[in-house]
Amino acid sequence: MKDIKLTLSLKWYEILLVMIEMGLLAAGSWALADSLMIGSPVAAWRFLLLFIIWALPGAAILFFFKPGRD
Amino acid sequence: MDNKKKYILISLWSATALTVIWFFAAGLSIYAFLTFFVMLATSFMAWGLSGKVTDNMRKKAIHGVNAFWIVMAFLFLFPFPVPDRPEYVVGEVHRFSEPNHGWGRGLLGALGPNLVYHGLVFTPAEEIKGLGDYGALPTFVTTFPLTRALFGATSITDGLRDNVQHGGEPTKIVPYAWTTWKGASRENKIGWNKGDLLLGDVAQKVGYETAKYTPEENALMIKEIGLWLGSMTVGICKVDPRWFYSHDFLSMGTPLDLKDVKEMKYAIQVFTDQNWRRVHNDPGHSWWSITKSGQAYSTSAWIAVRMAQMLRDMGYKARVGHGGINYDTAESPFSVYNGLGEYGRLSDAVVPTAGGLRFKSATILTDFPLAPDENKQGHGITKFCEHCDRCARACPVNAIPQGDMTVENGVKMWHVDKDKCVRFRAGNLNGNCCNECLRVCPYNKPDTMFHRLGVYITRHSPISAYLFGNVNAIGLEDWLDFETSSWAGKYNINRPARWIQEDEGFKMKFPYVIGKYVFTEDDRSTAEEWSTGVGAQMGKVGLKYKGVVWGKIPDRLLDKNGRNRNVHWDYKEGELPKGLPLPGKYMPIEEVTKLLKSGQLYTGGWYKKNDDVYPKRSEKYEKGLLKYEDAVKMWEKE
Ligand code: SF4
Ligand code: SF4
Repeated sequence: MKDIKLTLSLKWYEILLVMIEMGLLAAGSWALADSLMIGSPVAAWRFLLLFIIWALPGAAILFFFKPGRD
Repeated sequence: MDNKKKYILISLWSATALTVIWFFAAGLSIYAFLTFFVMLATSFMAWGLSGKVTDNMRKKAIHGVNAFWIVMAFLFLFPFPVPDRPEYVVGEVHRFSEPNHGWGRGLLGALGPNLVYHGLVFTPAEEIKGLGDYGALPTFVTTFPLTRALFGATSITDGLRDNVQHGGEPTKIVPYAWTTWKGASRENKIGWNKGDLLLGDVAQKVGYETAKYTPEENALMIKEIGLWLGSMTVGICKVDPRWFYSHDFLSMGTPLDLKDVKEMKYAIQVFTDQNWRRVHNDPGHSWWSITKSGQAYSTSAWIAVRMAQMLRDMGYKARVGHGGINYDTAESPFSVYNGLGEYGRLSDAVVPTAGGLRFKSATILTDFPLAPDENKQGHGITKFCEHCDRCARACPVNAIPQGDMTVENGVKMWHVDKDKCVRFRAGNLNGNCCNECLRVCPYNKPDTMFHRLGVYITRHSPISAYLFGNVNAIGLEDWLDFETSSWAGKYNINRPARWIQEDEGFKMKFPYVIGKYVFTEDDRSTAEEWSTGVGAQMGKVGLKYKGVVWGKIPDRLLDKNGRNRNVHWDYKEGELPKGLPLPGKYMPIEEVTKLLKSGQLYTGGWYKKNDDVYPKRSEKYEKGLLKYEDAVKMWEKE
């Protein structure tokens, strides 16, 4: 079997953004779980959606806003 | 980059900019706020895909997003100093007359006969024949077995509130079991127990094990015992004598002389949850709503009467005020001045550690020396309510003010139209007692870590009120929609309201005398015409407001016969007979004046002129501007 090599090189500010994105998604998951536990399913998924929406610009920059596509 | 791509990019960025304009123009709409983030992401993505991005541009964009979230985290999570409790007292404050509060006016007949007889609509008189004090006529608290069980419990504890009568209450003193002494309390002070041992966690805090009866230690002990007895939280403050009602409701008008209660210097307030699950699943206009009050009132009462008996047995005076209507004082100021809450838009105190408005409290007034809680620092609630109007929007009868605070009785806060509220709560034929305001308040959540974080943010963050609440548009709390419940499904939706009104053209005849109390022309309800249906419009039914058509029966609530599936009750038109008599009577003004002057009748009301109040107001406390801190100091010296 061939080795699978994964290399990931990120600058410090990229790492910071990744951490922020993960933090937002973690907060959204917490909100989802908490709202589900108190019997509020609409609030639960909308809370998650809220954090996903907040995370969108960062994700768009991380994955798409980079040089070398021309 | 070709022109097409360029135009797409320009359009996307323009649209992103437009969402910012939309956000502010629409009064901070949550929809605009969310759209902004989606547009921003789309614009960056399109720009990236267009292929004209350099390392430097990427670096700047990432720095921008990072900086935005760091600033946001700072603004939301940094423990910014909490604003001080607002100064609510801005003018002369008069004592409140208990017969003149909403329930007093409604149940004693000052708002009209049909409201007095409201209970006959849902409960046949024979069903509760001989019930006791409340048994003359059915009311919303005697509606069905569970309400009778719960409110009946508060009737039992009423007699245990004190061993002596002041201002007509308790109307019937019931000797507490195992009382081996006579009078208001044991003559000699005997302390907590023989060894005078402190509870472990209290001893841990004060550093010694044997009780020394310092006010600080007493307060810690009382709090621990209160929590142990089941209170959600316990607050302690010094008493402002203006909180005592001037006249009593249960004995229909007995005045309370402040001299009789001058030993009551401290107040301990205990709280019982009306329970999120019940509030969440059984809507306000259901027959269950009143039982939530009954449950929390009677539980708080039971905590308080037991604690008061302990204090009396220790050798101190202790007097309980509890609900439904067995208080000597207004209750909300305690929750504000013991530092647990602040006045909200609903006029009541919002207490974050007790589910916002979702509690019923009881209070023990005592001479047991207690260190009061810190009450200078607020919770940012009044400020939050300036940006939130969910309760005002939800109120079916528009009883809660939108807009700014006003000054009534020298107190600057929001003042609810209590007559409208009471008429709706007692007389809603589709399920009484309401609680819509309580239900939609963002502070009404279970006490989870996540909710605590939310409360922390609303307390400290200078910008959170703009995000969570929104007086101008749909805010985050509106959009999240906590009202939908997976537990109750379609059954937790309020039915449209239809409540008892007075007969067409009804006008109350004053002076109106009931028991020892006189309602005068000054007491005429400002909602009197409204109570006959003029301009009532069934509250918000049919009104479109913030995109919601109020009062339309949602299809999911209708059964296959087109009947509201949540109605557990069938009622006919004309539920009440015409021309019902009032429980009190009209008396000519000359006769009333004579009886008032000779001390056979009494009348009160903060809005009346000094000369029109019997007995006279206290010159010492009810004249001029007197701040809480000064009133308390003066009361301590009495
Ligand atoms: S209880 Fe109902 S009627 Fe009364 S203020 Fe609240 S929402 Fe309005
Ligand atoms: S619903 Fe909003 S305005 Fe009303 S009391 Fe609660 S926080 Fe204040």
